[in-house]
Amino acid sequence: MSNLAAYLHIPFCQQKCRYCDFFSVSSDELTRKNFSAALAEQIRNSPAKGETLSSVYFGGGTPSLLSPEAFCLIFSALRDTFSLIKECEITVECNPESVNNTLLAGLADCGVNRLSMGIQTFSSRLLQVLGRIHSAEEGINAFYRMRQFGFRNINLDLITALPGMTQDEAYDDLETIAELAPEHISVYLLKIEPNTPLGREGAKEQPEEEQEAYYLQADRFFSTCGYEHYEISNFAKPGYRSMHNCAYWNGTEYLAFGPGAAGYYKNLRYRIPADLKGYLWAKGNVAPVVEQYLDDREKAKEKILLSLRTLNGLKKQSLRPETLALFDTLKKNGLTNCVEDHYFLTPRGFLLSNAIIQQVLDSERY
Amino acid sequence: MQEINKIRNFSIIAHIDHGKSTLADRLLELTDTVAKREMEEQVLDNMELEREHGITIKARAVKLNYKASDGETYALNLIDTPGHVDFHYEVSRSLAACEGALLVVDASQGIEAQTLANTYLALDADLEILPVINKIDLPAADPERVIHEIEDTLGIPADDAPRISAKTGINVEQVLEMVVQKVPVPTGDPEKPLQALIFDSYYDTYRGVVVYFRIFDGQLHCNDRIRLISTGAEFDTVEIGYLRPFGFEPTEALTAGEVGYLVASIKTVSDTRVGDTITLAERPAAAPLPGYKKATPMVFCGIYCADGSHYEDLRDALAKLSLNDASMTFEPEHSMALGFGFRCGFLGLLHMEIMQERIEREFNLDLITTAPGVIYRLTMTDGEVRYIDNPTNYPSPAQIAQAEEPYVNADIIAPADCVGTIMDLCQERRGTFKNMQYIDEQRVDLHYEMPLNEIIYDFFDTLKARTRGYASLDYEFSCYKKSNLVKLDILLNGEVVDALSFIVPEERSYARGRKITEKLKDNIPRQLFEVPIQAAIGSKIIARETVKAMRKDVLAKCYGGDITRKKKLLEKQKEGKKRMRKLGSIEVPQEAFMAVLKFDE
Repeated sequence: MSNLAAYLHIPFCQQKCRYCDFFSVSSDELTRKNFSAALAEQIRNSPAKGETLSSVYFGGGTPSLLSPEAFCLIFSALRDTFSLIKECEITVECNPESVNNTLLAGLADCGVNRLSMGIQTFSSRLLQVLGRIHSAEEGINAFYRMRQFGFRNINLDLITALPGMTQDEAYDDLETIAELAPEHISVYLLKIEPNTPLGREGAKEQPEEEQEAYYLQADRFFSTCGYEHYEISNFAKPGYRSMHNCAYWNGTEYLAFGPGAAGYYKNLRYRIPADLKGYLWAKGNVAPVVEQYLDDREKAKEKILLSLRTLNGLKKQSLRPETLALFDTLKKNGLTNCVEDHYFLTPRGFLLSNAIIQQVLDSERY
Repeated sequence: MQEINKIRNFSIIAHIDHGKSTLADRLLELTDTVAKREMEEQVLDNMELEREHGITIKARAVKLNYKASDGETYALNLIDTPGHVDFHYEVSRSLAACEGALLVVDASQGIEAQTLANTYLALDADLEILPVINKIDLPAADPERVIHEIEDTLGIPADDAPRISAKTGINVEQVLEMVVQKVPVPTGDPEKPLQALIFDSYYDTYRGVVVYFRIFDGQLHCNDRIRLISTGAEFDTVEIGYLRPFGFEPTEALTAGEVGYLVASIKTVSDTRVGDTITLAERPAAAPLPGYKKATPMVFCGIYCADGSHYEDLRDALAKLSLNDASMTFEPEHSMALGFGFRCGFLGLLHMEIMQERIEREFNLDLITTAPGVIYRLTMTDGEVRYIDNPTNYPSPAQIAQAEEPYVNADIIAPADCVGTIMDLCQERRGTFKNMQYIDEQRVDLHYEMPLNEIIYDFFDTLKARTRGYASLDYEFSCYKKSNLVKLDILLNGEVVDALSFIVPEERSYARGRKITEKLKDNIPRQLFEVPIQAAIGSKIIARETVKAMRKDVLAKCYGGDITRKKKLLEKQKEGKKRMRKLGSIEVPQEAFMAVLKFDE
């Protein structure tokens, strides 16, 4: 039996960012306390009880809004229910404004060994556009504080191609990140969703050409700094790829805890309903919603779809002749590359991954 | 069976939008054929498409029972006709089954091009023509002027024409009285061998072919064994009867002068041809009735399924539609770009569009159609004469001694102040002016000889646009004329797309090549890499555009491993590509093919 991953969704934010369309709500201390208890309860009643976990990921929302006590409670539930391997990657997402010494000490005590922080940009003007409630300085300070508490595996999130951003501003962001030298960097192109404040006020994404320029600039810059661009939006120093992210791409099963979390276990893709009230009322004992059963064909299809997001790519031997011809055409146009017996997407190919995946699925007759 | 002197068979002819279908509705209502509450607007136009387009596509027939002022009840068989220029053939079919025709003219618009054309058809069929002035309720109505127009231009007495409003029902009763009094009683001998003319037929999934006919001589009884003279095929009738607005009214026997339907377990589409004569197997008539002039398709295009695996369904659809519409032709063809499909011939552009829509709606097929073209007559260097309806088959110029294209006589009626504009337009479209007559001080009737090819490229829309919608058009094939033609190929990514090839007059080739490449550029979405679009005559490139490469199409974030959401987005994208056709590695949407047809000035 291979190991599992676990994703825990903490659906609280102090204030919702203006570009975010994910499930999060504001909360008071009591709600957060009740929530931690419910989450612990859901973990203890997991049907996967007894399984071995190789990664645990607290995402959100803003997990760093939970108190150290809450984390303790949740971790004892995790350790009582599952066995965590020795090198288990345990990540907690943080926002700069909620990082403080007590929290960091508490997280370290609980065995958290990786932190992920949304820095997004260092321009105070653009932070405001995004509706972030921290300053650039707070972000930098929070990062150094994490280092002080001994965290040696940190990810920083960056969002680029923001409305009104200039190439210079984007470059400054890259340089500042490089100076901080985190082990892992995620770079996202801003996507403006219609049901967000940014979308409602009609903010426009930058033109395709600009987005491409920002993305390729980040790729070149971080590659020069020794990071490996191993997935569409992810860069890592050697040995620091995120195990949890990789679990998603390589078909490892992962358990979902907390309202709004998505999971994959025993061939089922499922979700915990994004309903905080119901979740609290049921003390975490909610029925997951099954979204899809994956038969062998669906799994094979997903393998294509997921592998092409990473440098692992697809094995030549597994592909139809039409697909190989397609990859050759793409290669001539600089969108794919081939090393030994693997085809994978280049950074420009990553940018077009939807269209390419679509064509590959087509030619593989899915 | 009806006494012959109590039968009147008539049609309504009119220019499009002059109120023919509304009048038909009113007649149905007045004769209580349709109760008012059942009255759906335009009962005769019961094809969904007809309602939407507000036009009558297929002829329909209905029997009205009318108690006239003389106290007698008459059977009035109304045979509806289409008004559009494309459907001359259907009009002449309907007229052949009648003795009289109501000529409906809009009291504000007066005579239009199709008023003339349809009147000539009715005169050719020897019908009694009874003018009706409609829409007298409109503020702009000028019945006196229109009556003069009819008398002066058509030479038909119109002084006592009913002045009606079909919409409000004013004076419609007069129309029925006029039909009874003025439409000639059918001539025909019930004792002679049966001769019945098929003027329409219809395929019903449960009954097989339903045949609409008019009996000229003899009688038909239920269970008679009939013979179709041209094919010699014989069938036992299982049901005969009258055509009513909401279906059939079976009866035992039908006699000379009557209009009715028959069902005879006819399963093969090709067995009943409209225009054929029905007789009895036992006592056949010596000769068939004169049929009609065979409708000749003038406009051709390739029709393909967006999804190639539906080819068989497309063939069935075409076979079924051609049963009702003998004027459409189809034969299989193959395109490198589009796979297997059919080269179809139509009477005109509207006919083509309507048939495409019917296939898409009634048979639920997604179609891709190629640019419409005409049929060219080529004399080869070895003296052989070839007719080419598909640009793909156009031979190399070295083999052609002479190329000719079809010309039409176009008749345009328009306000006098538009003459200059119309002349410019016709000039641009290679027309030759023949003559011009004033209908009255405000309106003229212009005659041009023009290549048909020019007419099918948006001519009518342009004409309408430039005359504020006032001009009306009718045209008729005249002859083939020598022309300097070239074949224009379109290349995507360096490869000829056979479905996009055209034949054009040489002097137009550059302009058209440029326009097509521009249109394609605007309609082909960005692809994964740059795609050159070229227009070429032989190996000479005459125009070039480039579709830029797509730069970004990515779902960067997969929050919390939400892969289902990602897959859904991919599915949605795929759905959007259904109407795309893959040409090599390039995805071309149907709109790109369609855009090539439309040229706005």
